[in-house]
Amino acid sequence: MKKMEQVPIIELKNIRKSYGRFEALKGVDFRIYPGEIVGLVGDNGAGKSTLLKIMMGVFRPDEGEIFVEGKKVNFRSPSESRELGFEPVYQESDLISQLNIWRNFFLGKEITKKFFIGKFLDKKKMRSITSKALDRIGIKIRDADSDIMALSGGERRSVSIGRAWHFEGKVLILDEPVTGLSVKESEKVLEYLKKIKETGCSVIMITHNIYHVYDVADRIAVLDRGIKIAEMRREDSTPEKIIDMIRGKKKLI
Amino acid sequence: MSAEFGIVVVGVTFLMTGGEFDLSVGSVFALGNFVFIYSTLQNFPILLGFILAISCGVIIGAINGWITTKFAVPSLIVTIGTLWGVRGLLLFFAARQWWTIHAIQSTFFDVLNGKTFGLYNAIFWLLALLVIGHIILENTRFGNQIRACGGNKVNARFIGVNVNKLKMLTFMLTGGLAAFAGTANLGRFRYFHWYLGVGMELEVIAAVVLGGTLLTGGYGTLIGSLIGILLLSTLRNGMIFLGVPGYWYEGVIGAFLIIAMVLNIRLRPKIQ
Repeated sequence: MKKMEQVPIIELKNIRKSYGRFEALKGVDFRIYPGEIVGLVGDNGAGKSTLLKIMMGVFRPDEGEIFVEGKKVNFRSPSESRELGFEPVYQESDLISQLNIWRNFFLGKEITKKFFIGKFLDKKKMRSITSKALDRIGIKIRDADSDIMALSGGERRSVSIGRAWHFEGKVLILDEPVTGLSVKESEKVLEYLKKIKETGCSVIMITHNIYHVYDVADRIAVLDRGIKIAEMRREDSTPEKIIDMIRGKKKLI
Repeated sequence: MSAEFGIVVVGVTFLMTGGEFDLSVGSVFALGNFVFIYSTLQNFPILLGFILAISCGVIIGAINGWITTKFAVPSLIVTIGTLWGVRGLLLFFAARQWWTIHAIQSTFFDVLNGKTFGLYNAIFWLLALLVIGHIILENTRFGNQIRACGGNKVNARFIGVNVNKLKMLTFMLTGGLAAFAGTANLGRFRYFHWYLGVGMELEVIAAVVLGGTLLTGGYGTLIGSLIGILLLSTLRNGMIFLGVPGYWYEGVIGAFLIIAMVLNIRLRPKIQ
């Protein structure tokens, strides 16, 4: 149960974003509290991805303010968002196929050690951490030096989520984490999310599958054409109700 | 084929691993040579002239990098522009005169590219750069992130790599090394002619690609580039040794380049 006086980890106020003439977000307010899983649903073009990409620092809002733990911030790049504890998992595979597993895992947050005149990669440490982190999430890899391309789609997604989990962000931002995965793999990912939540980390996720969101989310927000049309706690909703909401609004217009 | 050429290859290996090209290196090579000889003839301190020459290379690299990253113009096109631009400037300022500094003696030139144990010092600079470059590319954050930029710049940016800054740095490195190679060339031959370094860019790319660096970026090694350099120099020296007329060399390089590119593309799925 969320107490009202709790400070949100991230609060977005009146966010607007346009691409040329198309208004993707028309003044959206949004909050995430510590330790909750929030589902963001809506039809294509509702502005879900845009909202997430603003939190990830990929896009900058045209208007509106972002507060992180009560302090006003301005994400100028994905690295700044990541610096403040927002770990992203992008919709398509966000790994780089030319780099091996541990190089991908630590990209942007490489561990170095001082040696003589400079700082060099601590490969041994990164290899062992990668293996342990992937073990925790349930994929056994023989070798952290393996190619990314040797992994299945589900395993690759697990590497992305395992990475986000390992760096202990305050918030995990997941854009369609289970799209393209098999039923079994999707279930596994949803299991991870529950485990991650137990560690006190918040999760925000987009998915097209309402039942998935309903399964794991504490709170569900519905976007439609750039406007937040509803926000409800899990207890107050049913998957059918959510689907009707997404569909119903469309019929009116 | 000379060690000076190899120094240029080191910079371009970084650049191509990061997914970009630089066709202006031949012109920048000549520019470094010219700035160095000009300032020496103006009686500037030799060290100052050397620094000026390298700075000019770094600036051209920065211009290449700035236009490429800021305006999203393919670097292949941008650097064709600077290739002609720099060559044009050299033609305008330097083509009417014969430039030589045979009369000037300085230990700086001897250190830069005199002879040690019967070898030109540029070879030692090249070896040092290859070793340092290899360590950087394999064992530092910079190297890791360069490879990531070349592999997939969108994903690299999304996960928090400052792609534009890294690309900028590799362009500047490439320009600086090309100009350094130019100064080393002056240290060896002690003259300047506006035609120096014409056509060098393609030979450099040939060496890098022969060395296994992916045309698309994301993977490259300096050990490979060293092999590329050695292959091309063996080719040239071998042809001279066999008494093949010099003008055949360019044609053979062309054939080698095509073979290397085909192999590069055919072998790529196996590498990934």
